[in-house]
Amino acid sequence: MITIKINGKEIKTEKGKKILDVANDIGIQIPTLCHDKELSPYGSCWVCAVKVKDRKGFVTACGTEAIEGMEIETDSEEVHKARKMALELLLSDHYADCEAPCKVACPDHVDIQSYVSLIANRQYREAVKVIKETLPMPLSIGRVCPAFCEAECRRSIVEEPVAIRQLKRYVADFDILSKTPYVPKKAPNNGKNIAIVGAGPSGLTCGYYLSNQGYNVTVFESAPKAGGWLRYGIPEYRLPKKILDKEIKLMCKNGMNIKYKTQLGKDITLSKLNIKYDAVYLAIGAQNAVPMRVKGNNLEGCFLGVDFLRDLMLGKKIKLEKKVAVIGGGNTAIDCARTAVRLGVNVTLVYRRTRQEMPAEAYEVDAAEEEGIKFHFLTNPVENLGKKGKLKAIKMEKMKLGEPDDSGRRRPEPTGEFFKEEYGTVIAAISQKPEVAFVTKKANQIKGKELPLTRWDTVVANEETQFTGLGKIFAGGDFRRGPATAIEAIADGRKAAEAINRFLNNQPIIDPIKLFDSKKEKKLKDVDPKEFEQYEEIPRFKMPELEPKVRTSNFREVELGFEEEDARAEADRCLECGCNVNKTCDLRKYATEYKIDAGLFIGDKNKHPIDDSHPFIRRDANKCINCGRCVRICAEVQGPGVLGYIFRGFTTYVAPEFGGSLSKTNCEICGKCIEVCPVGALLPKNTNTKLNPHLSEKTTQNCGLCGTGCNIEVSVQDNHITIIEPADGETFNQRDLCFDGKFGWQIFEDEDRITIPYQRENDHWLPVDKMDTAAEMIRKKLENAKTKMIYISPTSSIEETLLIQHVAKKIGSQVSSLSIYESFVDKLKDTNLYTKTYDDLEKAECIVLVGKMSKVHKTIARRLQRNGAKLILITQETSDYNDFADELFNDDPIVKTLEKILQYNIELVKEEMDDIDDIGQNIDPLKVDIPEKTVFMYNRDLISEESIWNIWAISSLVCNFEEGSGIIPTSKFNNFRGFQKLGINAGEPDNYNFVLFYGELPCEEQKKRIKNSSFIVSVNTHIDDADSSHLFLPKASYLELKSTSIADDGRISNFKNPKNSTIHNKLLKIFKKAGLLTAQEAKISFWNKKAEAFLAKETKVRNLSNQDLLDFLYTVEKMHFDAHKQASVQKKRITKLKKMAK
Amino acid sequence: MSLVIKVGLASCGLAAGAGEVYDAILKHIKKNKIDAEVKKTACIGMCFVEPLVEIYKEEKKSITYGDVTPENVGDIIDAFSKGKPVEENVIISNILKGSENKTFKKQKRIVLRNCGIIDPVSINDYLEKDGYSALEKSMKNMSREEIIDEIKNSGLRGRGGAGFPTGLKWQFAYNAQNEKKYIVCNADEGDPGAFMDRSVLEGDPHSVIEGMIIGAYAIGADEGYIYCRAEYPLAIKHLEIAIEQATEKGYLGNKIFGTDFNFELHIKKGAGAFVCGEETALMASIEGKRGMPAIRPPFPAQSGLWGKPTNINNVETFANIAWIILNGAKEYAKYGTEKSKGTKVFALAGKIKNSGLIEVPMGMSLRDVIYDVGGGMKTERPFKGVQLGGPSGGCLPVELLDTIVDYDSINKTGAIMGSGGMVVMDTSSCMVDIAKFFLNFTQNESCGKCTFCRVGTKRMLEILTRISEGKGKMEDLDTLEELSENIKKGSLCGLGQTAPNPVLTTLKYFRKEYIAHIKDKTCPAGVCTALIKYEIIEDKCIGCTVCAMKCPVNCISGERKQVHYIDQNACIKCGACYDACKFDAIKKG
Repeated sequence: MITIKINGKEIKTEKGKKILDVANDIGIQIPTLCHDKELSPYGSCWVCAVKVKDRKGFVTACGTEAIEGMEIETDSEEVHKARKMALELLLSDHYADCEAPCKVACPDHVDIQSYVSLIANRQYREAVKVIKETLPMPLSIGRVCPAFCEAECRRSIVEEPVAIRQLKRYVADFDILSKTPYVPKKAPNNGKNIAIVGAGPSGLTCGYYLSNQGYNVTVFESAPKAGGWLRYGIPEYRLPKKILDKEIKLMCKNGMNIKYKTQLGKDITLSKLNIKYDAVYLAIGAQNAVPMRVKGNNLEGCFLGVDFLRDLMLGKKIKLEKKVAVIGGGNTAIDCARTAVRLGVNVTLVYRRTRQEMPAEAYEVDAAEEEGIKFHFLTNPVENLGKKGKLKAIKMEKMKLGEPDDSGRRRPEPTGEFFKEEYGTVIAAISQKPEVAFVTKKANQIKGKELPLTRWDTVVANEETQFTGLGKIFAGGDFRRGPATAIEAIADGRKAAEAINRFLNNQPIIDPIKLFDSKKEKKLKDVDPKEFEQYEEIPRFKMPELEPKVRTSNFREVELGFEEEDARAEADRCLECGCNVNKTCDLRKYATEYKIDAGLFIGDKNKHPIDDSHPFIRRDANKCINCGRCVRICAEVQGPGVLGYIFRGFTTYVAPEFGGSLSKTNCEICGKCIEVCPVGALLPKNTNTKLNPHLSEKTTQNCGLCGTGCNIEVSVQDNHITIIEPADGETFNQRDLCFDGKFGWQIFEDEDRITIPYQRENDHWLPVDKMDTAAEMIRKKLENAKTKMIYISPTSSIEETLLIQHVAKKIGSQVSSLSIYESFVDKLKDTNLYTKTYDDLEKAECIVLVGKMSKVHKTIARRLQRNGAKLILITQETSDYNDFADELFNDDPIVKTLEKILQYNIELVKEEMDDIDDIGQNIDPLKVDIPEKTVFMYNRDLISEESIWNIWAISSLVCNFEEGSGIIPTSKFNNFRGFQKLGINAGEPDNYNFVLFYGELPCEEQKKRIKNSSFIVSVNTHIDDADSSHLFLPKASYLELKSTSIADDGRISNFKNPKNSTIHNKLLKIFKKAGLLTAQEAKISFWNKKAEAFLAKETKVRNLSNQDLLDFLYTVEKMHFDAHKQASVQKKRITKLKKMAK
Repeated sequence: MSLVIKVGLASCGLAAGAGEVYDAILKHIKKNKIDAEVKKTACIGMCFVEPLVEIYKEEKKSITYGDVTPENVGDIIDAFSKGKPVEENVIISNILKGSENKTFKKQKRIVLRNCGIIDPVSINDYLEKDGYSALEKSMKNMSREEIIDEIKNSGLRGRGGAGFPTGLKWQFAYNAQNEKKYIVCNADEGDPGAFMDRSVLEGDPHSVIEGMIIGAYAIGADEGYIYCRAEYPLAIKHLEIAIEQATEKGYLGNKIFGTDFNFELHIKKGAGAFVCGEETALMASIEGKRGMPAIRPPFPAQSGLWGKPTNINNVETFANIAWIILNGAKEYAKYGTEKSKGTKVFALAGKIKNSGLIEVPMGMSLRDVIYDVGGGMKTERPFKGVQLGGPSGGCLPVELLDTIVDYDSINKTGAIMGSGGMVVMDTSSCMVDIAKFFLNFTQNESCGKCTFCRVGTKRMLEILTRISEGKGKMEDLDTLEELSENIKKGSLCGLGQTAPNPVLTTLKYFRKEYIAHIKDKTCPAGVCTALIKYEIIEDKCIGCTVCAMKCPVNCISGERKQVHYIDQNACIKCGACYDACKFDAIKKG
C-alpha cells in the first residue's frame, strides 16, 4: 500500500494503480475520452489532465501511476480550465451535428429524424409515438405547419428538402384510421389540479401532457368549440374541421376536460383560478385584428382578416361584393383570399413589397395563384373610397424597395405615384394582437399585482418555462409571442407543461440541464455542399392535390395525402444528419458538464465524406476526436489492425489504409471499434432498417447463434430489433461479440424471413393463408403414416425440445438430431473433467486454442494473454490474430501438431508410467512448454475427433483439472449441452411416411437418404433451396421466444423474446389444431415451467482421475478423422450476409 | 614532399560546386603533371565561402581558399607552388599574416575535431587521429562503472536539446536489469536550418560510432541503432562505410578486443518526421510503427525498444565521448560553465556574415558568438533578434545579447539551447511572421496525438495569421498566451511542450510589434503582405517607367517622365517595383 494526497486528502491505495483509477475508487470522477480499460494508457485527449506537485505541466491521470507521497490536484481551477480548453479544441474540429438540423429548427424540437426513419421502416405507430412525445397534434400540424424543419433540411443541398410535414400527416392519418389510435399510458392520478385558459393548440398541448402525467386538467374556452386559431382561423380546405375534432377528442382521452363558452374576465377570474388551482396556464391567443390605418376603414364592405375567417367558421353570413381586395402578405391574407375565391368572387391580393418578401409560404402563394387570385405587388392602399357609407374603390400608391429593415426584408418606400381601382369589399389582414382588457381589472389581479404586459399587449413570461413570475401563472402561445404559428404555440404549451410539472414537484422551474449541441453550421446556407456530392438525386415526392378548377368551388381539403409506398420512399430520402448516439456520447456529456463555449475557437475544420461503403459499419471521420481507441483495439486486441492514422498535424485523421473503405481491408466485422468509440465516429448499421437516435427498449439476454451464449443487449423499437450490442457489466464476453452475434442476427429480420406457412406445389412454394389448413394437412398425413420420425436441431431451446419430445411421444415417433454426431468424448460429459468454465479460463496460466475458434473466444484469450497468460495457437487458419500467439503452430495439419506435442509429453512421463505407449512410430516429439494450469479450447464441430482425442490425451498428461486447468469444448450450437442433458442423440437419415424437421436442414448426403419420405414438414426461419419438405412452418429464433438453453460451459442461456414475437404462438396453435397438443400445452408458459424443472434436475457427476482418463482414451476405437458436416440455413445466410462487406 | 590538396566535399560543399572543383583539380594536376596528393574531406564549418580548398606541403603551413571555382583552381594551385598565394581567395592561413581567422580563434573544436581535416571514409585517417584508442582504453583499462563515472564527472549533458546529464542516463540504463539492452543514436536532426549532426556524420562518422560502442560497453548493450533521416544520403553512406570498416577492424561484431563484449550496429533510415526526434516516437518508428510519442514514465532506460532497457543519445553527445575518455573528464570540464560543461556546436544562419558551423565553449556570450565568431551582421540593417533552438526555441532581442550560452541561462529567457540552431535576424524580419513560420512548422509536424498540440497549435496559427492580416484583436494575445500555457503543460512530448516558445518569446520581447499589427494595422518590418502598401513618392519619381515595366499585374500607370501611380486595389504587393526603383521613389509601409 502507498499513501498519496488527492485534493489535499490523504488516502491509501495499492501500488501500481493509475491516478484515474485511484480517484475513481474514492468517487472522484475524472473525465477521459482516449482511455480504454482494455488498452494500455495512451494519453492523447488530455481531458483527464491533473496536476501533480513538483511535476512540470499537467500529467494524464490515465497514464500516470500513483506513487508514494504524490500530491494530486484533480479539480483546481487550473485543471478545470485546461480540461475545458481541451474539450473546446476537440469540439472546434468536431464537424458534426448532435441533433438533426430539422429538429433544431423546429420550435417544438420534434425528433423528426427518428420518426422519418420509422416511416421508412414502415413502423408507423412507433413514428406517431415519437411525434407525440413533443407534438400531440400531428393531424393538424401535418396540414398547416409552415415547416421550419424543411427550411433547414440538408437534403435541399442535394435537390429538395424531405417532405417532412406531409410525412407527419401521413402517419397521423394512418394512426387515426387504425383500430386503436395511439394514446399514451396515463400516469396514476396525483390529485393536483391545473387550469388552462384557451383551448387552442397551446392550451390543449399543455393540458394533454399534464393529463397524461396524472393531473386533473380543466381547459376554459370562450368559444363554443375547441381548437382556437386552428378552428377559427385556418380555412376548411387546409384543415377539415372533422379532422381537428378527431384530434382534440383523442387528446382528451386521458381526462383533459374542456369547459366551453367560459371567458376569462367574465365567467372566471385570474385571482380565483390562482387560488383554486395548483397551476394556471394562460393561452388566450392573439385574436384581435389590427385595423388598417387608412381613411374610410369603417365603410361598409371593409372587413378585418381574422374576423372574416372566424365569422365564417361560426356560420355567420357575410356578404362579399364581386370584386374583393385582400390586404397583406402573410398566411392569414392568403387564407382570406383563398377563402373568398371559394365564395365565388374575384380576388386581388395587395401587398406592399414583392413576392419574395411575402411572409406566407411559397407553396400557398402558388396555390392562390393557381386558384385565380391576382396580385398587386409593391402596392399600398392609402384610402378607402366610398359612396353612401359603402366601399366603392381603393386608392393605392405604388411602392419601391429600399434598404433592408430589422427583419432583413427590404423596406417598401412610397413613390408618390397613385392609382385607383374599384372594389366592393376589402379584407385587411395585417396583424393581430391579444385581447387584454381583463388584465387591469381587480378580479384578475393577484395580491394587487397585474399580469405583466409588453407594449404590444403580449404577456411577459420566460420563454423556456412560460412562467410569468406572478402567482402560479404560466402563459404562452400567441399571448406571449404575438401572432405566430401553431407549432410555436404547441412548443410553448409543452414547455409550460414540463415547467409546471417541475414546479409542482418542488424542482427548479427551469430545467437546469442544457445539453451541449454541436452543429456543423448554424444555418443551411453555410454548409459545405461538397460532402453531399456523394448522394444520388431523388426528387421530392409531390403531394397530390385537388385540381385548381375543382378546388375553387368548394371547401374540400386541397392536399390529398400520400400513399404508403410514396410516404415510405419519401422518408427514405432523409440523410440522417443527427447523431444516433447523441444520448450516450461521452464528448457531449463532458461538453455539457464543462459548459463548453462552442464558438470560442473558430477556424478550419477537417471535413470528410461520410463513409457508408461498408454494410455494417458507418465511418464518420468528421466526428472523430483522434483518441485512437479503435486503432489500438483493432491492432492490439482484435488482431486485424485495419485502422490507422493518416497525415500529420491538424489534418491527422483515422481511416483504413490510404483513406479507403473498410470493405477493402481484413476487417473481421466484430464491431469492437464501435464499442470503444467514445463519440459517434463509428456506428453500427442495420441492413434492414434505418436507425435513429430515438430511445429504444433494451433487453438483456444471451446470444443464441452458437454454444458460447454471449450476453447481449437487444434494442427494440416497436417490435423491430435495431441493434444488438454486448450487454453492459462484467460479463464473461465483456464488450465482445463476433460478427454473427453483432450483425448476423439481422437475417431474422430480413425480407426472406418466413412468418406464415407455405406449401410446396411442384417446384414452387405457395403461401398457406389459413393456419387451420396447415394443421389439417399435418393431422391427415399423420393419420395415414405408419413410420414417423422427428429430427431436431440443437439450435432449438430446452422448451422447444421438450415440446417436440412430447409431440413425438404422442405420435409414436423417435426424436433425434442430424446436426450432431456420436463421439467418444460424449462419454465424459457427466464427469468432473467436463465442468470447466470461463472462470477457469481467467485463472489459467496458459491458453491453448485448437482449430477455428469464435472471435469472442479469441478476444477473451487475447485479453488474458495481455494480463500475463501464455497463448498457444494450433490452427490451420491464416489470420492476423495468429501474430499474437506466443507459440503458433500452423504449418502442419492440426492433428499432426497435436500428435507431436503428445509424443513429447509421453516421453516426459514414460519412465514413471510404464503402461503408456508411444502414439506412432514415426512421430517426432515437439517440445511445447505447457504448464499445469492450462485451459484447452476447441470447437467439436470444426475439428476431427482424432484431434479431440489428442487434446484430451495431452491434457491428461499436463493438466490437473483443478481450478484454471482443463478443457472447455465448444460447439456451433447454442443448445448442444442441452441436447446432451435431454438425451437427444445423433439420428440416422432414412425415409419415413412422416418426417418433421424442427430447425433442421439436412446436408446433401442426408437429404439423399430422406427425400423419398412421403410427407416432410419443415419448421424453420427461412426456406432453403436444399429444403425438401412439403409443408413449411415458421420457427421462432432466439430473439423471438422466451426460452432457455445450456451453453458450452454449462451456463444457462436465457432468451426473452424482446420483439414480443407471436411466431411461436402460431406454431403452438397449429400443433394444437393438428391434435398434437392440448390447450394447456399450447402455451409457452407451460413449457417454460417444464424447462425450469428440467434444468433444476441435478446430474450425477463421476469423478475421474488423470489415469482413468488416460485409460479411457486408450480404449477408444472408433474415431472420425474428418470434421463433421452439418447444414444450417441460418449459418448459410449469415455467411452470405457477411460476404456483403467485401 | 608533395603538395597536399584537400577539398571539402560535404553536402554543403557539394551543393556549392565542390564536386566540379575537385574534378578540375584532378584535371589540372594531371595536365600539368604536378606532384600533388588530392584528398577529400568534409565540412570545416565555413559554409558561407564554400567550396573550400586547403593546400599545404607541411600540415602546419597551410592555406585555405574559399569561393574556389573550377576556373580559378588552376591559378590557386600554381600560385601556391610559386609561394605567392591568390590573396583574394585566402580564408585562413597560418603562414600568411593577417589571415588567422577570428572565426576559429575563439572556437574550441572537440566534436568537430576531425571535421574538415580527415577523409571521413578513411578509417586510417581516423586512427591516425587517435581513433578507437578511447575504446581500447575504456575496455582494457576501465571498468564499466569507471566509464560511466568519467562521463558523469565530465558534466556532459545531452546535446539533443533538453540537456539531461549523459552519465546519469547511462547509469539508469546500466542499472536496468535485463539480458538484452539497446543503445540508440538519435540522428533525426530536423530543425529547419540545423545541420550540426549531418556535418559530424558526414565528416567524422567514426567518432560517433566509437562513442556508441563505448556507451554500449558501459551499459551492457549488445545491439545499437543509428536512427538517421533518409534526407541525409551522404551521412548514411559514410556511416555504412564506417560501420563496415569498424567491423573489419574488429571494433564492431563479436568478441571486441578479445573480450566477451559483442556489439552489432544498424542504421535505421527515418522517413523525415520531425517528431521522430523525440525518443519514444523514434523507438516506435524503429519498431515499424507510426512515430508517435508515448507516455513517460516508463523511460527508455527501463522500457525502451521492444520493451528492453535502451539508452538514447544524439550524434553530438556521442561524438564527445571518445575525446572525454582520452583526455579525461577534468580536461573536458575545464570548458564551460558550472552546470554546462564542454563545448556546443551551433549552426549559424540568417543575416550573419559567417554563416556555417561553429563549436564554442559553453559560457561564451551570444554577442561574442554572433559578432566575434560569426563576424557580425551581414547587412547594414541593425540586429533585431536571434532565434535559438529552432521551432522549440525562442527569439531573443538585442537586450539579451549578453546572455551566456549555457543550458540554464538560455532556458531562463524562454528560449532553449536546443540542438544548436541559431538564426540571426535584422530589422527586415517581422516577429509575428517569424512566430507564424515556426508554429506552422510544428503544426505540420505534430504527430496529431495530443489534443492541445494537434488542434491548439492550429488555432494559434490561425490567430497569428489573422493578426498578420490585420484582423487581430487585442484579446487574441490573451488567447495566444492561454493556449500556449496549456499546450506546454498538456502535451506528451517535447514537440508540443515547446511548440509555443517562438510565440511566447516574441510576445514577451516584441509585444509592441504584435500591437502594431493589431491596433495600427501595420507591419513595422514590412513583411506581412496584407498590411503593406507600396506607394510612389512623388518628389523622387522621375518617370523612368522601370517600375511599371516590372509590375507583373500592370497596376502601375504613368507617362514617361511623369510621376507614376500604383493602383492599390490591383497591387499584389510582390515588391518588384520596390526592388526595381533606382531612385528610392517607392515607399513601403
